[in-house]
Amino acid sequence: MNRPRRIALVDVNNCYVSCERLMRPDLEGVPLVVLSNNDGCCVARSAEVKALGVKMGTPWFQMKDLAKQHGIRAMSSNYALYGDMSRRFHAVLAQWVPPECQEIYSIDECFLDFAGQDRLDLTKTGQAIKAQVKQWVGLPVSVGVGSTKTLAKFANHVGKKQPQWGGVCDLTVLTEADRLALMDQFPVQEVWGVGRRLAEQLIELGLPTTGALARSDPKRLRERFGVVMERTVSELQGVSCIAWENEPPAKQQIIASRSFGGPLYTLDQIAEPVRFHMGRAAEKLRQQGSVAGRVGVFLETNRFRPQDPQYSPSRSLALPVATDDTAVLITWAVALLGALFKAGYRYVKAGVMLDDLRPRGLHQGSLFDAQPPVHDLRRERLMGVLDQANGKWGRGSLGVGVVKHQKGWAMNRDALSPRYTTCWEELRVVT
Amino acid sequence: MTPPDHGGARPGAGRKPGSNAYGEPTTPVRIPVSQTPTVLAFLDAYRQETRASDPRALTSNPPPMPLTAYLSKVPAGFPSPAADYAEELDLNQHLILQGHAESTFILRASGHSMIGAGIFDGDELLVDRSLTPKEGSVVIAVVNGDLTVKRLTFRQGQPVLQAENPHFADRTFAEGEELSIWGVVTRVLHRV
Repeated sequence: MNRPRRIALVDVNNCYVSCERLMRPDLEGVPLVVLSNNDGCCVARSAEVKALGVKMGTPWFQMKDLAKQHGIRAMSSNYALYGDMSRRFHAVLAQWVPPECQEIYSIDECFLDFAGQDRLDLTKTGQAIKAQVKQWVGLPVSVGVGSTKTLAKFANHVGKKQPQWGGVCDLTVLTEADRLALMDQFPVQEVWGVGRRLAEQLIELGLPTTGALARSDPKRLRERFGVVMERTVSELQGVSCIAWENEPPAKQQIIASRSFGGPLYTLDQIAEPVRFHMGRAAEKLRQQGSVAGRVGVFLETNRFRPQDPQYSPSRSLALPVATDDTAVLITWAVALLGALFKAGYRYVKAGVMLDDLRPRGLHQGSLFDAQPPVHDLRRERLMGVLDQANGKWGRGSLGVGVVKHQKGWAMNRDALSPRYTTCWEELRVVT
Repeated sequence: MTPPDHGGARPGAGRKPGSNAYGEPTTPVRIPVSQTPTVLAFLDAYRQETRASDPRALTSNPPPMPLTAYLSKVPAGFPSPAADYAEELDLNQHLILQGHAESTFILRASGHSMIGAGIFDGDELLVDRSLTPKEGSVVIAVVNGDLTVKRLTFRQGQPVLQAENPHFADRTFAEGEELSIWGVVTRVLHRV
């Protein structure tokens, strides 16, 4: 008999909070949140904050009273630190499986396929992984093992929520009855891919728990919810339907946007961040070796200020020739911005989108081009220099057009910790 | 009727083509009267012999000269016979234990408590978290929520954090008090 596949999901507990605490042991045990860009919403909560009932994504200004009452500390997102810690985390996990059996799923989640290592006790292995990541990179992790990705994800959740598992839950050693009994203890919303809305509909159908969903007929649910739900149910039943991706797929869309530090009012003011964001988006585009066939721009006013007139337009257009040239893309973006912009609003956010991405080199000229698009080597080299300069001296050192010093629209990051692990000037000091 | 044997073109007659002041064929053109001095000045300059100190204008409006950028380097000459033996000193490899890049962090020392161990104010410390601290290891320890660099020893089975400077007292730990080690210092980078 074929042994079932065994897939582990290793996930860093409260990743951003844990990264901050590694360098600041004094924050251990202190209720701590990490805020999104511009110090807007909670994107990570320590266990103490979760225990107070604060939900993911709660705007910081809405919880200021609670914070005062319980001494909740807030820090700005330090992506230089989290990115470096994430790289270390994934590198440690790479020691456990061959390269093709590791799938880096996100900054703090990693799938490991233990195919071909049938003798390994994955509960013990999970504990060893947990101990190694804690010692080597100082991050607490949970490990879930199942015969499919969805089951591994569920097992990981169980390991986190029920202390008796010690952070490691292997569903493959349970009998089917035990597995289903365990699933009965968890609401259906905990299943990977089941959002709040979907969960409400499933509860209405009489499927309130993960166990109930796992016992249902995937074909029948497909009729009502579509093929994604069919796959989810099959995965819960141990039939693998979600492909293994050890190479991250090229992005289909690139968005670069950010809230301004404060409101902006004029076209000139807003054109600056739009140029800056398009510079970043174009850089990402070149990194993945694509060209964009469509450019979009959007603007937002503050929806948390109902007293303000609201205007949040968005528009995109198809380019005559797909390109990855920063200057060309910025020209289009600024033109779009000019078409969207209306005076008299208090704008708080702008962003750019690149769509219709295709591999570079598959240029297709248009019938009405003045000249067939040629590979302009000098232009390509120029873009290469641009990317190198920004890699060496930091984002935004070299750009197109006037970008002043991010005055007025730079992010608010009032509680930003140093780049401890990526910058010589900001190393952690020990006495 | 026979052709006349006189009159008409005679081969070899007249000025030789290119025998003018320019050394190449010429053509008559109409020019605006107002531009006559400019054109004459240009032609005058054009007739001059080229000298290094006074280069002759070939044209008043040179066409752009395209430069080709190559995507790859073109090797010229013989390949270096040493290329096959290229070796260099890799500081990362030297300073970081093999396979421990993920667990190695760089911290900065502050103060004078460890000068006896060769750790001075402002030095960079390479700290390997994967190593198990032993008696005598220089460690980064967590004391009162802060990170400190000290030498780890044991007295009657109890850990002691020792400074390497007589002006600093040892940090001892009472029964039940827990000492947490953050990492083991493996190298000091000191600027001389």
